[in-house]
Amino acid sequence: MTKVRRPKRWDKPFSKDMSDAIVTRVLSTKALSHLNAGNFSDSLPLSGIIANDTRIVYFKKGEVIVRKGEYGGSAFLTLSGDVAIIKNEVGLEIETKKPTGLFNFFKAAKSTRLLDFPLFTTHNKEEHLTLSPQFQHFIEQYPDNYITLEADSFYGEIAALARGTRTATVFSKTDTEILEIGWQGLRDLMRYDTQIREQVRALYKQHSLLVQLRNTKFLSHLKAEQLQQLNEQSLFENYGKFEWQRSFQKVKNDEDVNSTLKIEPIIAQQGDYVDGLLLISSGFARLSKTINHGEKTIGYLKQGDTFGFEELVHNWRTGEEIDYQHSLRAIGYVDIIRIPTSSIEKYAFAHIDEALLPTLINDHDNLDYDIDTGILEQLVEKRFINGSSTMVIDRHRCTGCDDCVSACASLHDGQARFNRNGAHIDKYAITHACMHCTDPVCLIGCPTGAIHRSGQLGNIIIDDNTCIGCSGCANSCPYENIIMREVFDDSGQALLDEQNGTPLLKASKCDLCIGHGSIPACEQACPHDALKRLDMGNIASFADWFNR
Amino acid sequence: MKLHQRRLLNVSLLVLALLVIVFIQQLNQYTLNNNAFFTGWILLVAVLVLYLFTLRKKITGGKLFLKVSTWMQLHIYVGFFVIALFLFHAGWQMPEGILKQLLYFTFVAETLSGLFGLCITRMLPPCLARNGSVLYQDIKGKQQQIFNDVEQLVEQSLDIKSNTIAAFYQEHLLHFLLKPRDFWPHLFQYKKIIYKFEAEFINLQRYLNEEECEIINKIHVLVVEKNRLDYQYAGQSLLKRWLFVHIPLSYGLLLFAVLHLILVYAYIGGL
Repeated sequence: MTKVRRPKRWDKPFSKDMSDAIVTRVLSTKALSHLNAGNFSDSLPLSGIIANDTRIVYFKKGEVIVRKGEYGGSAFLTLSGDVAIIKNEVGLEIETKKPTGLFNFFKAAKSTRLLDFPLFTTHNKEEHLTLSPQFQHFIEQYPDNYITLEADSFYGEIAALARGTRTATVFSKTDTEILEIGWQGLRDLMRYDTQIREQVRALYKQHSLLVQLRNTKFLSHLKAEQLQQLNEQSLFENYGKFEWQRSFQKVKNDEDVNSTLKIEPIIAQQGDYVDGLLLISSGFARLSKTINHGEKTIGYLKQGDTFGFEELVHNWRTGEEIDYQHSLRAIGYVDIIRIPTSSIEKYAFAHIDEALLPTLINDHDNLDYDIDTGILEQLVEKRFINGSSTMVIDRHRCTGCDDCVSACASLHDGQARFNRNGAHIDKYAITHACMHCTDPVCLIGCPTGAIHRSGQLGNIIIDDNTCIGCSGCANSCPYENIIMREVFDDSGQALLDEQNGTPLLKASKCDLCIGHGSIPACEQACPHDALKRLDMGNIASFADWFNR
Repeated sequence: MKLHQRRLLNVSLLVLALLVIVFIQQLNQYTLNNNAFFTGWILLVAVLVLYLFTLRKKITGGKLFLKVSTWMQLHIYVGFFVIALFLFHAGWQMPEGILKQLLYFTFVAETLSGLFGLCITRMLPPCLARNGSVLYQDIKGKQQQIFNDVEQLVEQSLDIKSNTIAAFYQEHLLHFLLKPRDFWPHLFQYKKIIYKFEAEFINLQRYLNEEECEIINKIHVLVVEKNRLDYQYAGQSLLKRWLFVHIPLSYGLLLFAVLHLILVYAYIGGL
C-alpha cells in the first residue's frame, strides 16, 4: 500500500501562466470589474476561479477561435481586438459575372455559385485553424456574412451550457487576446454572481434563437431583416431542470409505469389551441397521444425538430382550426423556441415552396419509422434515447461468449469498461456502458473538467490526470454507467489517502476505444452480430437495426 | 443489409463456388487431370481459411481487419463448402488405411461439432433470453444467495416450533439447492423436476398453518428461481463448452491432414 495526498481541484489548472498580475488585469476588464470577491465562498475564491479555471489565448488575424460543429465546454471573453461570428458557412454563395461569348447571350447578367474553395486551412496540434486566404478575401468582400462582436462580450456559451456542439464559427478579425473560461469556472461565476448569470443566460437565449431560426429548413429562404423580425417576435422558453438527473434517479425504478411521465413538464397538450410553432433548440421531448386514460408514446423530438408544423399548415391551407394533435413533454431539460402562428404565416408560409410543406393531417399515428410501441415507450421512459453510442445487445443472438468484454479489457489494461448487465427491453439489453449522451449530465458537477467531451468526435472521455476521484460523475450518471475504481501504482500497490488511509479512486467508463479504429472493440469482437453501438437520437437508424 | 438478405447472398455464393468446383472436376475428367489433387489442395486451403477465424479473434482493436462477425459468416459458409469438398475428395465412401480413416473420422467429428455449435448458438440464446437472462458468472453467486435465504427461512420455521418444513427441506430441497442440478434434463427442456417440486409443495401445504404457509410460499418462489438459474447454467455452459470439443478436434484434423499430404506426395514420388 502506498500513501499519497488525495488530489484536489486546481491541482492541475487550466493554464500555468495565470499569474497574480494577469488575474488582477483580467478582473479589471469591463465585463468582470463588477465582480465582488466577497460574494464568493472561501473554498472557491474569485481569484482562484480566474487563476485556475480560465486562461489567456492569443489569436492572430484570421485564426479560428471556435469551429461550428466541434464540441466545446468553455466560453470566451474578448479582452482586446475584434472577433466575428460567421453567420452560416454552409451554402455561402459568390456572385459571378456573365460569361462572355455568343452562346451566353441569354444568360443573366449576374448569377451566383457556391463557394468552391476550402474555407479553412488544416492545422496541427500547436497551431489554430485558420481561414483560407480565399475565404478571408471573401469575408472582407461580403461583410454581410459575419457579425462583429463587441469587446467585453461573452460567446461560446451555447455549447458550454447546452453541453453540445458549437453552433457557429468564430474567427479573429484582428490580432486578439481572449479569456477562455472553462465550464467549471463559468458555472461557478454564474453561481456566485447574479449579473454574470443574467448576462450569460440572456446571451444564451439571444444566440440560440438566432442560430435555431437560421438553421431551420423552411425558414432558410428568409432575408436577414425578415429573420430579425421573426427573431423579435419569437419566444425562448425552457422546460425541465438543468440537472434533471436528480428527479429522474428518484423515479426510474418505480413500479408505476407513469412515474417518469409525471416528472416531465408539459410543453404543449393535445387538444390545446395551436398558438404557434415550437422548435426544439436543445434537449429531447416526448411526443405522445392520449389513449383512454393513458399516454401512448409515438416518438420523440430532438434539437432542430418542430412541433405543431402539420397543424399550422393544415389550418393555413383549409381555414379550419384544428388543435394540437399530440402532447409534447420535456424529457430532462429542453429549450424551446415558440414562433407565433401569425408570424409563421406571414414570413414562412406566404413565400415558401409548397413542396416543403407536409400534406393535410389525416392519420397522425402513421409515422415514418417502424418500431414496436412497447420498445419505444421503454426507451423514452428510461431515457435511453439520450445515448449517441448506446450499447445494445440482441439477446436472441448473444451466446454469452464474453468476447466483447475480453476485447474491451485487452484495450484497457485488463479491465473492461462496461458491464454486460443492463435493462432488458423486449429481446434487447441496454448494457451498463457509457452511452456518450447527447445531454451528458455527468459533466455538470465535475470540479476539474476531467470528464469532458472530446473536441471533434464528441465522445465523453475522462482525463485520468485531472480526475480527483470525487465520484460526482458516477453519482450523476442516471444510467449507472460510470464506476469508481481503485488506483494502483506501477508496482501494483493500491494508492491510499495519506490522511485517512482510504483508497484513492478514479472514475472509469467506456471511451469508445478512442484511437483504436472507428468501431469500438466490443462491437468489432462480437461474432454473432449481437452487439451494436446505436445512436438513439437517430430513430430511423436504430429502428432499422431493430428490424433487421 | 438485412439478415435474411445476407443469408441469401452467402448461400448464393456458396452454391456458385460449388458449381465452379463441379465444373472444374468435369473439365479435369476430360483432360485426364487428377481430381483428388485438385480437391485436396482446395480443401487444405479452405481449412486454413477456417483457422484464420481463430487468429482474427485474437486480434483486438485492429483498424484494418473486418469485424469478427464477418469472419464468423466466412467461417460458417467456408465450413459448408469444406464439407461438400471433403465428400468430393473422399469419393463419397469410407477410405481404407488407418491414417485416412483417422482423418476421415476426425473430420466427421469436427464437422458434427461445428454443426452442433451452429445449431445451439442459433437456437439456445432466444430460449435463454425468454427465460430471463442472467450473466453466467453471476449464476453460482445467485444460487448461493438462494441457498442462504432458504436456510434462513427454514431456521425461521424452527423458531415457531415446527420441524415439518425443516424435514421437507432435508428430504427434498437440500440436495437440489447445493449446486446447479439437472444439466441434461434442462437442455432437453424436460420440466418434470419442477413439476415434481410443485406437487410436493402443494401436498405439504395441507399440513401447515398460516404462518408456515407464508414461509413455504417464500421457499417455493426461491426454488422456482433456483430452477430457472439451473436452466440458464445448463444452456450457457453448453454454449461455452462445445468449443472444448470443436477446437481441439480442429488441431487434430490439421495434424492428420498434413500427415496425409506428406504421405501422398511421398508415395507418388513427389518428395
